[in-house]
This record gives sequence, C-alpha cells and structure tokens, in this order.
Amino acid sequence: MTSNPLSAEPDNVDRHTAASPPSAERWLTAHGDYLYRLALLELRNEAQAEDAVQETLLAALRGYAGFDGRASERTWLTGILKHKIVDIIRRDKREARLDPTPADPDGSPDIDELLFNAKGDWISPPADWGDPDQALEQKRFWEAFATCLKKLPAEMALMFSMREISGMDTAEICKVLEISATNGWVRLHRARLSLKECLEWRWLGKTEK
Amino acid sequence: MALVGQNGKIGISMLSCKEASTLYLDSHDRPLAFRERLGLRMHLMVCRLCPRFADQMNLIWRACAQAAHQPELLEEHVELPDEAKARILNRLASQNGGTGPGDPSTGAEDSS
Repeated sequence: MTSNPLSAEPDNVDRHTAASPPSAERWLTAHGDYLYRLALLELRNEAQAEDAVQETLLAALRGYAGFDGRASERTWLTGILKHKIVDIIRRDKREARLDPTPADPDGSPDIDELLFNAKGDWISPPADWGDPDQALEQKRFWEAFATCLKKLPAEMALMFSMREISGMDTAEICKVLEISATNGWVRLHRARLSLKECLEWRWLGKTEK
Repeated sequence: MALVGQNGKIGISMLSCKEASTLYLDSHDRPLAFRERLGLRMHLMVCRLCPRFADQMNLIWRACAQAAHQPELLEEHVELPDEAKARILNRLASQNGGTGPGDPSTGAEDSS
C-alpha cells in the first residue's frame, strides 16, 4: 500500500536475535532512539520518555524468556513500550500533573464553528491535497505534520496520538485518561479537525475558497 | 435523515456536510449503521467538497500509521542522548541486580 522508499526497519537490526543473549546495551544502541522518539510523541516530556525507555528495557530483560523470536526484537520492545507509556500516563493522571488546564468542552473556540455554518455547509472548504503517495514523500509535509501535532493542546494531542499513532481503542483510552466516552469523542473529533485545518495552512497554504 | 417515507416510497433528506464529515470520522472508530453508511455514500456522490475531506483524512491516517513505525519522520532531530543511555544502563544495573535470565549485559554501564 505504501510506496515510501524508506524501509520501516533495517534488515540487520535483528541479526543478533537468534544467537545473542539479551543485552540492554545492544538494545539501546539498536532501538534506543526509536523507542525514545515513539515515547516522546505521546508523552511530550523528555524525562518521562527516558523513563519509558528504561522501564521497557527492564521489563524486557526480566521477561526475555517469554520472547519467542517470532516477532522482531523491535516489534517486541515496541509492544512493551506501549504498555509502559500507558502506565506513565496513568501514574501522571493520578498525580494530576497532566492536564494542568482542565479539558474544556465549552471554553475554547469550537473548530466545528470555524469549519461549518449553522446549516452545516463548509465555510472553510477543504482543499484538494493531491496525490497522497507524493505527499508522504515530501519533507515539507512531514515538517508541517510535526508542527501541527505539536500545536494541538496537550489533552487533544494525547488523545490523538494514543488513538491514531499508538492505535489504541477509544474506549480503552477514555479509561486510562479517566474521561467520559463523550468527552473522549469530542477531544478526538476536535483534534482531527484541528490537525487537518492546520495542515491546510502550514503545508499547502490555503488558497481555494 | 429519513430514508423511507410513510407511503413506503424512498425519500431522502440529504446529510449536511458537517454530518457527513462527522460520520466519515466516526467510521474510523465504529462500524456505521446501514442507514448511516448509505447516507454517507450518497452524500459523497453528490458533494464536491466532502470527498476532498475524506481524502485529507485518509492521508492523515496513512501518515499516522507510517509514523508509528518511523517516528523519526515526526521527531526528526530527536535522539536519546548518550548521557541518558548511560543513566538508563546504570539504573538498570542497580535495579536488575544482574539477576535477570542469562543476563551478562547489565554491567556495561560505561558505554560511550
């Protein structure tokens, strides 16, 4: 489906799997940056992302016997990392450090009102984004995407990355974040529309009206 | 939206663009009901703008799936600093106490 020339994972990453014993140092060298970036995408906090990597490696060392080698080492570590990220988010939630400003279903300007009139017609019509395969190979697209993701308010960004990047179930996310299903739906809806609208401006520069 | 009128004839009140785009987003998270699916499909057939919205969201979803495997696309200049790697190895060595299954690695704090 994707025609992106960059391969997701270099062939040589797992060449040690069969023979070599588990080694946190080797994992850090081969997968450290990867795991750290993934953690940072969701947690947006360097110290927490470092913790997530550390806890992942600790669990990996202790649970190495359970690794059957069918998945690649990277895939296996990523699976552990996702759980560790959720643990950290939960812990954070309990200590109420996340969400310094409470979620505001009423407070912020409603993206729906910026995009649609009262009849439900587009007032900010979506532009033609052209060939998606080409877009995904553009550096400009990825820069705009990263910028737009960072511009989302924290609670929207978290909802978005848990759902769309980590691929968690919406109900599961609401449980972790301790929010109602409705609140979760609103956050996700707004995050998606805000990101899309941001890309219209940042990536293409909105021209068509 | 009413699909079948009282007289049994098929009559359709079209979805608005706002309703159609919301349904399109929802279809990513839950299976749509038959009526919803039909309404959305009909709207997409006659609307000039909503198919663009659908394409935009499809691109965003593809980008997200790709970023899940290649986070460097979004965190381009981010690396786990060497000091952080050293810290992690140090803490692992003390936490794991070298008791892990066949675990020769944790003494290797001073990687450079």
